[in-house]
Amino acid sequence: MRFNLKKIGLKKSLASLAVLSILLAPLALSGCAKSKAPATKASVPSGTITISGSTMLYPLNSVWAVAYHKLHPSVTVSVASTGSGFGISNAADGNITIGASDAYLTKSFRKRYPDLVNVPVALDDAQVIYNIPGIPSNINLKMTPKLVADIYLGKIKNWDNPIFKKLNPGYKFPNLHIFVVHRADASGTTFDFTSLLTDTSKTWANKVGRSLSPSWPVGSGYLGSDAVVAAVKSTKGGIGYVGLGWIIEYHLSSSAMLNKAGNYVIGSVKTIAAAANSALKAGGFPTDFDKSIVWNVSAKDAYPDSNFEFWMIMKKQKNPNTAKRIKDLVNWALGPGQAAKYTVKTGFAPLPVSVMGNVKKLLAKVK
Amino acid sequence: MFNLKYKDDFYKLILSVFIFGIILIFLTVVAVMLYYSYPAIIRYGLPFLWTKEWNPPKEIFGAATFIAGTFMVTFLALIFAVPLSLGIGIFLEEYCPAFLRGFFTIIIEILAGIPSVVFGVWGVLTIVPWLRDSIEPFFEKHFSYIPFLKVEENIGYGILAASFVVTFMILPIIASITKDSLASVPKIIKDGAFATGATKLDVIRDVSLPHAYKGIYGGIVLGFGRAVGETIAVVLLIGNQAVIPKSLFGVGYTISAVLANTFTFAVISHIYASSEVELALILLLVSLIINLLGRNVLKRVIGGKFSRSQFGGG
Repeated sequence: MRFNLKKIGLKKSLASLAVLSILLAPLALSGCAKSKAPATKASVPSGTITISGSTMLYPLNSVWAVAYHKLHPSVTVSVASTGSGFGISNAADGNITIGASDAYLTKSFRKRYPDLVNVPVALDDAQVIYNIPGIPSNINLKMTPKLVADIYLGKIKNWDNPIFKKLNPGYKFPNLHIFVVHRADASGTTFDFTSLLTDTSKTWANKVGRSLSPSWPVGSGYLGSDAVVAAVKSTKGGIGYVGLGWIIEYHLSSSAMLNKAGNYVIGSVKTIAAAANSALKAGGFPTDFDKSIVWNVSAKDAYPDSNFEFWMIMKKQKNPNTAKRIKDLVNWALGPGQAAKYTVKTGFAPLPVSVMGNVKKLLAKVK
Repeated sequence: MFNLKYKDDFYKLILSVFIFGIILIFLTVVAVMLYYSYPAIIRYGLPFLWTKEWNPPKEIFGAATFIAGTFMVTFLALIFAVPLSLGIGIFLEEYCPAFLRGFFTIIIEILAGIPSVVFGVWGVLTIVPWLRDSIEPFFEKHFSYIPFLKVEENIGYGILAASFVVTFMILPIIASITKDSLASVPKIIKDGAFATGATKLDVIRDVSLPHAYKGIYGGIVLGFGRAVGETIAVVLLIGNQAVIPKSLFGVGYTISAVLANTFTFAVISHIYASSEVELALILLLVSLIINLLGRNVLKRVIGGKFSRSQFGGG
C-alpha cells in the first residue's frame, strides 16, 4: 500500500513537472529572444528601475517599460500597480525608484515628503457619461460642473429637472431617477472629477472636497472604470465618470462640459492639451506642478476637467548611476514616449510642448 | 530500539516547533494590527464604532456603516444558507439514493472550491440583472409600504445581491460538513432508536441531529467566517457606498470591501491607514469572538434543549 502510494505520488509529480515545463517553455524561449536585442547605449548605466503606484497610470508605465527596455536592454524597468498612496510613500522611503501617482503632492504631503519632486508625465481627464432613455446615445449633452455637483450631492434627483431641458433644448428628458455611479477604489479619475466639483461648487468643497477616495454623499461605487461604464450602461438613468481612454475604447458619448470661458467643451486629446497649455501660459501655475489644472483655465477650447499624471522621484538619489538611469528614462518618456501609440492608446493625452521647459527644470533637481 | 525512540522524540520536537510557529504567526498578526491601529484607537476612541461618517479628506473616521454592512450581508447569507444547507446535508446523508450520493457530493465539493471572484462575476452577470429587472420592480410595485423592503434605487447592486452570492459560497461548506457530521453518527445508536419504534424523521430530529450538532455548528461557524471576511465578490456586488442600508435592496459597504478598495491609497496618510487597520482589527476580533465564545454558547443552548428529548444525545 505504502509503495503504491509513493509510486502514484511520483507519477503525479512527474506529470505536473511535464505540464510545468510545457507551460514555461514559451517564457524561456522569449527570454532568449530578448537577449538578442541590440547592444546597450554606453550612456545609460545598466541596472533596474522600479516604477510602482497608480493603477490608472499602470498601462502607460507598462508600455513605456517594454519600449524603453527594447532600446536599452541592460536597463530593466519593472512596473507594478499598487495604488498612488503606495507609489508616493514608497518612492519617499527609497523602496522604489519612481512612484506613479494620479495626484500632485498637496501641502500636507509636501510637508511629509519634502524631498520628492512630482514630474508630470502625461495628461488625463474625467468625463461624465450617462444613460438616459430617449436621448440618442451619440449626443453630447451640455452640462455644467455646478449641475454635476448638485447631482452628486443628491440635490438633483430626477432627469425631468427643468435644468436639463434648459441646457439642452430640443430633447425630451424622462421622469426617471438619476442613478449616481462613482468609483469605489481610490482613483485618479475621481481626483480629477472631485477637483472640478470642488473648484465650482462651494457646497461640494465644504462637504466633500477633492480626493482620490472621497466620502460620497449619494450613489453606489464600482471597482475600476470598466465597472463604472458597465453600471452606467446597464442602468437606465445612470450617470458616471471615466477618463478619456474609456471614452475612446467603448465609443462612449460624454457630456460637453461648461468651461470657465463659457463654452461647452468635449474632452479629447486636443481640448485636454489646450487646457494644460492655457494653464501654464496664464502664469501663476506653480513651477513644481503642485496644483490641479481643471477649472481654472481661460482658453476657449480648454476641457475643464483635465489633470497631470505624475512620477514621484526623490531629489537625492543614493547612487549617481540610478540618477542617470532615471533621467534618461524620464527624458525618453517625455520625448519619444509621448507618441500617441503609447499615450493615447492607453487612455492619456500627451503633454504639450509648452510644459516641457518647467518639467525639465524639475528633473534637473534629481541628482 | 534507542534509535527509534530518539527518532520519535526528534519528530515530536519538529512538530511542536511547527505548532509554536502557528501561535507566533497568530500573535504577530494581532500585534501588527494593534500597533498600526493604535493611533486611530487613541484619536477616535470607542465612538469609532458608532460614528457613521467616513471622510478621508477631512480625517473623520467612523466604522458604523462598514460594521452594519458586514453584519447585514453575513446574517442574511446565513439566514438563507443554513436552512438550505441543512436540508441538502440531511437529504444527501439520509434520503439520497446511494448511486447519486457520490455525484452530488462531488458537485458540492466543487462548488465549495470555486474561487470567490468567479462567484462575484457570476453574480454581476446573473443576480444583478435578475434583481434589477424582475425582483426589484415586483417589490417596488407590491411591497413598497414595508420599510425594510423598500426599493430606493432600482439598480440590482446592493446588500441583497451580495448576500445571495455569499449564500452560494457558504452553502456548500455548511452542507458538506452537515452531511459528514450526520455520517459520523454511530449506526448502533440510530438502530437503537429505530428499535424503539421511532420513524426516520424522529431519528433524524432526535438522534442524528443532536449527535451531529457540534459538527454542524462548526460548519456554520466556518460559513460565518467565510461570509464575514468575503471580499472580492462583495466588492463587485454591494454598491460600495458608505451608508447604513435602510432596506434589503439598498447599497452598502463592508469592512473587507472598503479595505480592498482603498487600503493601497490609505497608506498615504498616517491616520487614514491607521483607521483602516482598525477596521481590519475589528474584523479579526469578530472572527475570534465567534469562534471562541459562540461555540460554548450554542453548545449550552442546543445541548440543553436536546438533552431533555426522549432519546438524549448531545
